[in-house]
Amino acid sequence: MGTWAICTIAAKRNLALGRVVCRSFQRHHPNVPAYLLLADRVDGYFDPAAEPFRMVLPDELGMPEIGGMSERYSQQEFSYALTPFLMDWVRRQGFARVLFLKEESLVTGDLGPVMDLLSEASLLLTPHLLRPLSEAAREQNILQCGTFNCGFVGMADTAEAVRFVRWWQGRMATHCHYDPAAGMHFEQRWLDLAHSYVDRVAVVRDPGVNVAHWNLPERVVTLEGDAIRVDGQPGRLFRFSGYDPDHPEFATRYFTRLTKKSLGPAAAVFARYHEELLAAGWAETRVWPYALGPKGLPPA
Amino acid sequence: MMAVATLVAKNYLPFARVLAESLHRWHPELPLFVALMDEPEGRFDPAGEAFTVVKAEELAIPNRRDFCFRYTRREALSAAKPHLISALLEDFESVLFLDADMIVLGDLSPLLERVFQHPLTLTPHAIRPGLPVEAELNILQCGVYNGGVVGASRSAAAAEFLGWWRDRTKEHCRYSIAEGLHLDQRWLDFAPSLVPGLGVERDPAYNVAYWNVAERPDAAAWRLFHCSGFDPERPDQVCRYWPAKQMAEVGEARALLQEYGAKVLAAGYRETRGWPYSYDYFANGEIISPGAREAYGRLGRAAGYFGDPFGTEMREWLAERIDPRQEEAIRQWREAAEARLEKLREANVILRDQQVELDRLRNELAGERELVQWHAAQAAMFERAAEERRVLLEPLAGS
Repeated sequence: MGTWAICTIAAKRNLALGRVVCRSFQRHHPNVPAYLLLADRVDGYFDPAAEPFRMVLPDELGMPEIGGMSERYSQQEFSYALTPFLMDWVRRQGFARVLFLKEESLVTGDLGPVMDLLSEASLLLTPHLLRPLSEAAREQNILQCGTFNCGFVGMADTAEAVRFVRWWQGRMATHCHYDPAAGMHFEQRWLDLAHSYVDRVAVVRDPGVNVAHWNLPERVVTLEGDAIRVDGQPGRLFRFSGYDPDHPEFATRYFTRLTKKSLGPAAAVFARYHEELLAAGWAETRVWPYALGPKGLPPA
Repeated sequence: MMAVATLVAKNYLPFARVLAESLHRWHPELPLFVALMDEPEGRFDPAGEAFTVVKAEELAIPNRRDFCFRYTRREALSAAKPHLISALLEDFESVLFLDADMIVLGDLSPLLERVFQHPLTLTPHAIRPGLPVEAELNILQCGVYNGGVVGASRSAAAAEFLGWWRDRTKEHCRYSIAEGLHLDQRWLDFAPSLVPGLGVERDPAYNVAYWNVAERPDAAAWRLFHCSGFDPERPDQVCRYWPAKQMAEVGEARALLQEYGAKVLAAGYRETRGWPYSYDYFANGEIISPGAREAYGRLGRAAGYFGDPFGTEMREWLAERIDPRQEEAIRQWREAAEARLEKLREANVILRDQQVELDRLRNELAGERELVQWHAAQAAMFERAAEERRVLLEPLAGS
């Protein structure tokens, strides 16, 4: 089945998040390489050699399209837009399978069984929902954002996967904006076309993967000592999209009805994440400046 | 055993007749069920058609009078689709729903086989990368899968999906792209999430239509053509939803569409096109205005207190609240807002293009600046050399 690697993307201000996702991954997969694409400049703020990941810079991806992107996009847009460029670059380092994880994640279990799905498929996607919700409103919200979540995307080294990711790169060079009325939601809504363009798409139906604010109201999280279970299955990956360590009473800024109290046992996972973030230097890195971004004309 | 199904209001009967004829030429074994989301009002004889007419009340739509009142014709025809498929699955192993404005041009067996083998089968609007970005964004706004072809086979997965789809289209079968709605169609984007074993038919032979015909120029390979938005009375226009699309751009589809239009006319379209949609009228024959429909939609559960919405009580209640001048004002405001939105979209596209151009110029400028700096450095070097030479030559100048 060949070797695999994971990758993530962060600006300096989110470096602590990148450290947490890579460290937590290495606890379960000490021999699988983890890459972090710094969508930013180092500017002497940290020593890449001392980090728990192999660092890549945008210029090192060797893609001419990336040139103008950092100036055209905001920090968030630029980070998101780099996803397919990074995935294909990691593949070209000689890996048969590549898993992209968004930086605000905590690996809590073995991801091997999920990666095994890629032995039969070209792409690996996680839907926001595995079952219908009781109300239309939240589903409509998902239709605006995209039915697949872009925080967990896998690719195998197959021709159709490469074709798809290259097409996605083309879209990311110009169309990674937040504009739901125009059919856009950063990099994510483009994934809705995966089944249109790729024959073999594996849809992850494991409830222990990509557990996050959009599905926590429906999933049952339980703890047995250190082991986390979700709907009775091993909890493998939790996501903390919109989590603000300054406001730990809320699970996410996107959905304030979901509070620490309403989380139930999952609150313990959030608490663990909170601790890991602080231990990874969140208070220090959060104020590091973003060195790229829109610029005026070059100085004369 | 499989059934083919479609849905029409009675003014669209000729489309169903043309579909029936083309379907039975290639598949005489397949029964066609045409659900009438309308009342026949004695204008035609269902027994005289080449298909089985399914009456609106046979679709088992819960609270059907509410459904018919709430929705416009186009909305009701879309929202009734999952009900029709579910109703037919009670008697048939598999159902293939086709939009009425489709024509069968070849053997559908591979598609039917796929429908048999999957709980749900859909056809995506695009089947491979290569479309311009605007076309893809349009697809993302309208839905990844085209609602004109839906296959279902009796199974727990199909029953669960159809039950959910019926539920969503009860009230949320509206056209509101910004809210993530496009009639029944955007809900289908959830199919890969909710249906394990979804069948995705990516063969270019099926559901060829104005949005993909440019990618599928080989007319000999077409087996199922979707004449979406084609008006038989305007045979020079490809699609009423996309007036800018020219017949010259669609290749062999031009002849096909024009022949199709002639067939629909021959099947009686000039007679049927003026037939009223029964659910556009109160029981006393008065027309239901769009404002009344909207006001009804906002009533929510309270609508249930009025009994039959087509009756006197609701009509009088709405009449008191709907001011025709206000309706006209709302209509004008809405038109103005849509026009402004369209302008903003265009401006946005121009802005983005200019941004790209700006980036290009900026790169060019950076290159130019390097060149200028190089020339300046060269000039300075020559100047220095000239100065040195002048200094060297100076003592000699006086001699």
